[in-house]
Amino acid sequence: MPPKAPKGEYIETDTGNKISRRSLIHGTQHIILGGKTVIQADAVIRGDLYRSSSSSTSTSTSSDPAGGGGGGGGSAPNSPSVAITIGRYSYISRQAILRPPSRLHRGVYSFYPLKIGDHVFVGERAVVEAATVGNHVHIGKDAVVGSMAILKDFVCVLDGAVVPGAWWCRVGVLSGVRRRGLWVRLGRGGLARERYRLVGR
Amino acid sequence: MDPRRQHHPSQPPPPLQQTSTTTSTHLKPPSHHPQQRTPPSPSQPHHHRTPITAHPSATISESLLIQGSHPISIGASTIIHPRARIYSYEGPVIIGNGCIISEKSVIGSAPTTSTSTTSTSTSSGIASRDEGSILPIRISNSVIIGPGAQILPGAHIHSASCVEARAVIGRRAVVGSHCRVCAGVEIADGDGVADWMVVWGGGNRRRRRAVGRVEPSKVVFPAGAGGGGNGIGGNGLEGRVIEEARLMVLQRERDALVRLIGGRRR
Repeated sequence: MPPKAPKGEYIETDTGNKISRRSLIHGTQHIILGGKTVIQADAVIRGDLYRSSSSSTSTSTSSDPAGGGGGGGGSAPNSPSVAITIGRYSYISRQAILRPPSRLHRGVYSFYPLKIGDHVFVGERAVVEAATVGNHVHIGKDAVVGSMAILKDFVCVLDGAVVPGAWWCRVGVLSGVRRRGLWVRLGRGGLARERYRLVGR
Repeated sequence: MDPRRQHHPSQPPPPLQQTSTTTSTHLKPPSHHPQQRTPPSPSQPHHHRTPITAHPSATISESLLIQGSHPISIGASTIIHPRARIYSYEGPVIIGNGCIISEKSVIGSAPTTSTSTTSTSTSSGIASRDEGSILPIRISNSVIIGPGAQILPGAHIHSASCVEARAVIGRRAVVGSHCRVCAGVEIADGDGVADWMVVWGGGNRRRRRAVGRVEPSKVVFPAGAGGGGNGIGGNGLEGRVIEEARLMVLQRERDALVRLIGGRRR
């Protein structure tokens, strides 16, 4: 599926993440990659929008709406400052935008961590502002996932679909709000591993 | 007289080679972009700096890409996220106070990709009609431009409107105040959206903003969740109260963003 990249485009980390040199990642110290994750060129990942630890740590623990689901939520030693968590074998296509959601809660406006599970595919030019994206979620290209949305496991967002903010998609739902796209048959882990292997070779 | 040398009447003509001193170090166009994006119609022999007037309280990310020959002005306490792009090839760009321009949004049209965004027949026809005329982009106060949104030349967005992610505002389109253009919606060239309207969905469905509408991507008001069903009678008042509350939250959002992305500015 991805075209063969020129040699040396991807940096491979110790845990097997393949990150394009042309990806636009901000705030790397606030991003946790679970390993074997692919980030393609021109993908914007906003790790700099983390929850500021100054006045919101006391309220944040009780109010975290993204407590369940998601991959590797508790893996962070310093969890208050983690902005984006991405699980294993996830794939961020080119020009996708991942930004943490934000909201006002008890008078404090703060950003909340964006948790993305394992085997998640994010299509080209998609905008993901969700609070939690579960495992095996497929987000099509040009899709928009609104702020504080929660996508449970095996949710498939069709190409060009819009998931409104604060929306809650159940397990296995196909969400195609506004486009008559193809109903994508979701592959299991084998597809994600295949995608991972093909990148950067 | 080349019309591209004209400045917007509301501004004193700034010197062409000079940018604002507070932001000049951050506003250099990145060097990794290819140099083949010269405008098609007036052949510019050398690439001179875009004249920029930015208010000192504006927070502008250093990875903002600015190109073009017309002046760009950015108002007070406006926040521009990284990787936004502003092109002023076809006219000046005026951004008001307290706006939030999200990442990867495009204001203006790049010279090379201007025809690829819309259907080629209409855009080329309009482009040929607009040849030589100046199309200013005006973004009023407290406007939110979502990630990946596109504002084409000549668009005018009135105050307190919200253009969500990946929406497209066409050429010469006018978006009224307190509007909401939802994610992925494309406002056609020359189209107009009245005040207090919501445009959403595949067929650009529209409706007036009602009382107690829950703002999806911003906040969930405690009263707004149940307000959709009951207070149909007192429309104007409660809607305005909620809108005022939304603008206060927007102020909080700006404060939070200044702490996060504005810290390394100085």
